[in-house]
Amino acid sequence: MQLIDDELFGFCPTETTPEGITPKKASLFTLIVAVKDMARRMHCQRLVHRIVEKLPCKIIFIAIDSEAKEEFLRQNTFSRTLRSGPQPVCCDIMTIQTSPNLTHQIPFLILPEIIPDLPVFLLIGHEPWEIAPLVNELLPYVDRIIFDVQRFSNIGHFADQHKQLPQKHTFIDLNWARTKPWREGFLRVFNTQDRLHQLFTSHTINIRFSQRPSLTTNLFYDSQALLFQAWIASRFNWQPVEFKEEADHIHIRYRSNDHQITVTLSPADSAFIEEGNIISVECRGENETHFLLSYETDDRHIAVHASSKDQCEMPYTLFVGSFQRGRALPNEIFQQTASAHYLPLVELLTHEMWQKNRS
Amino acid sequence: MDIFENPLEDSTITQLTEPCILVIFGATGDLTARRLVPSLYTLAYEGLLPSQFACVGFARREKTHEQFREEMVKAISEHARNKEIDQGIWQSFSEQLFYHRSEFEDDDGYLRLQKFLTELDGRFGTKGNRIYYLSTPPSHFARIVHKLDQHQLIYPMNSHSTKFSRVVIEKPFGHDYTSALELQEQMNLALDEKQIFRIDHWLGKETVQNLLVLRFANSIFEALWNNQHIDHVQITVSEEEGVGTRGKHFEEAGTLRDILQNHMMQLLSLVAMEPPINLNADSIRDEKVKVLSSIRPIPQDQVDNFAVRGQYGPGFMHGKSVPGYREEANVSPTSNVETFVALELFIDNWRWAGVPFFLRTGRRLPKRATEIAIFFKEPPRVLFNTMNAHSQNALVIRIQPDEGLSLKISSKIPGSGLLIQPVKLDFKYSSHFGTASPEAYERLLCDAMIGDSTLFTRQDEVLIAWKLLDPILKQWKKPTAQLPNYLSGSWGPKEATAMIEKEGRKWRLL
Repeated sequence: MQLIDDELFGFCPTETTPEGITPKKASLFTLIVAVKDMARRMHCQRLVHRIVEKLPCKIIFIAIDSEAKEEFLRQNTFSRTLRSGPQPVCCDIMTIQTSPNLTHQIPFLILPEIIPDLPVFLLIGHEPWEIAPLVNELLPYVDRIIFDVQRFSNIGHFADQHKQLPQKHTFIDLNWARTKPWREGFLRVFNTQDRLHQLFTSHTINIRFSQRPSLTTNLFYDSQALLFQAWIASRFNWQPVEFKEEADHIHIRYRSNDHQITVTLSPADSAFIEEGNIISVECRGENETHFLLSYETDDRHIAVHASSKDQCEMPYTLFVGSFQRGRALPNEIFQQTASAHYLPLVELLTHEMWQKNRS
Repeated sequence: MDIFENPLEDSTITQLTEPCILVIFGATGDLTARRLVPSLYTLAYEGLLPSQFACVGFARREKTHEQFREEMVKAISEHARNKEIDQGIWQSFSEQLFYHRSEFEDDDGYLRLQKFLTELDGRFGTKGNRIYYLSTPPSHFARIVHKLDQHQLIYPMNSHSTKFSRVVIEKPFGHDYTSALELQEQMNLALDEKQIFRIDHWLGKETVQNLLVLRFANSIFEALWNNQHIDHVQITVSEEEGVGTRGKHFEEAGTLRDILQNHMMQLLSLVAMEPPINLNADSIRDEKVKVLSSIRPIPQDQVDNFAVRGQYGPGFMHGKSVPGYREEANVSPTSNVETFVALELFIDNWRWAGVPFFLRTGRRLPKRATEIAIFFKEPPRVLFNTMNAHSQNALVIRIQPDEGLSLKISSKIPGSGLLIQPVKLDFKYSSHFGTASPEAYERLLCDAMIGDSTLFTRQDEVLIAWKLLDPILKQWKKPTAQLPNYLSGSWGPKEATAMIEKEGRKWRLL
């Protein structure tokens, strides 16, 4: 396995710029990144890139090679310029690559590297319990744990495990954070009692999420869509009835007091929406009410179409900003308090209906 | 809209701007092109503009919607924070941008405006909500508000209101206490105080907002923030530029009215106020008013002891010779208008009794800088009495440029002796949070759309500030032979230095 340093970060070396400006070192926190699955490494690297461009920090990147045949533990420490411009900023980076059986040594390597007095965040590229021993070792030192699940292998298991996480720590689910523009969009659209009633009495909800066709895998990055529909269901106290996977679609049925709701999640190819992100949400209900919210040309605008049997509103656009590329996502995961809506939706996902191992 | 509990509402979701139409009076002016429309565009870019939104420029010049849009896209590319225009966002934004030609006193113009706004409500779903931004000379404020009221474009405030109308005005709010009161009375004929948003754009600056955080979210500072530990406070607003093309305006206003009455009094009240009971607009403004009310008035016959005025003469800036104030365009060659002010103020309350607050502001000073410097009392001269350890701890809050904080402390110089040297602990916003702090107008426009008046000035704040400065204005009306009294490129008149040095203090060298 190659050293991941420069290949990993691709930042400029820390040196004086041609204008004679020496980059200033700045760190708002220590960010420890732990990735077990090597396939998730690239994803986490991109994520770290986006974070440090907005919020300079000290990075400790741990890559656990779960397929390693030999025992190894390598580390490297260096500085890189993270932000150019009139006031270049550089940060310290430490990379650690290890075989799984040596992860118990990692805390000894990283504890001296943590910046005192500033927050320490742990970002895990999958479900936290997949590297439970390491997470448990680091828990006393970290202020917040952020995890980024590509796909739940068993939704019910995820929810059960999540409920057992220590309460005194803040856990942030990145996929939940990524649904924020959609939750905000929904709040803006369903902002009157009438509108809310129309959403509540919907009988079908179709959610499309971005997924590029792949020759090597038929796994779908449906975590965001799953969490989003569970959010709606938990807000309205809909009771889970059935969860079914059919080819590339997921069908979920809920029951409310007097009606049933069918939610369908489907993958769709999109050139401009990142994989896993929601592309559109369509709700149909009584009196032929129809709401279609969709990203149109980019991930900054959500177009809203609303109509019913009696009226058809002029379509309009919600500006939701560049959540993924701007500062909103780092702010959301590092600075925001955990949303009070998250745990109720996890509770909903503990229902036996979700307890299925997915292919 | 009925008030109801929306189960989708989440406290972690940013407070949303409400659907509305923003009407800018004086839309062909500089402020619209340089600040307002670029800020609106940035809000659109950041996703902070309500989706149900339209903006109408109201001005006298003949212009089509298209011409107005063309001028605005140029202004955005020159002045917006993000100068590279995103075509997708501009396309949507420009479709919400309109122009309405009318005189400010023309009834027909307001009738047409009313019709047009109703039509836009239908197109954009703006629900009849209005924000009128008066980017005009203050002499038009009362007339425009009267006309808006006459044509039912302002809605009365009551608990059954389902739509809002708000008026945003730019300083100056009067030119002395009497005129400010008069303006207020005229505005009150049509508007409730809650409908008036008085912009002091400094309050929209990140560092100014950070003052509350610095003071009340850090226990180390608040414990020292009183006359037991603080020796004095200096607030400086220094400009390199002369009056440039604003000679006419400046001849009527002068620095005391232009900068000190509003911006600097706001800074002073934020530095000196007691902790508010919560972060509501009125709780914060109540505390600011208490501080302003506690400032010891300066009787007219003692103005010379506590206030210094100056006017710049010719001099040198960055190695180039520059003219004096009286040689500037549209300025009288015998003008007595002040371009520099220094004040010594005392706040007669429990926290600040005996602590002088020195305020200075001027044009054609050597450096552009705005900062608040808190000078702490010296430690007892017992241990290091014989060494060069006489530097005071100073906490400097830089507002512009280089927004940030620095704390000056004493440190031992490495080596065998015991020599002491002041060093700085420095924090720069640009290093830690990047350079893209929102423009003050972005924040303030957004707050006006949300209806949050925390960062806007309340009527009583304005009136108290005028009341304090009225004796100085009256005294300075008397002609003096001593102006101009400082060279361009210097730190102001020697009287200002004498004022602070009389008790052994010095102006901080910026």
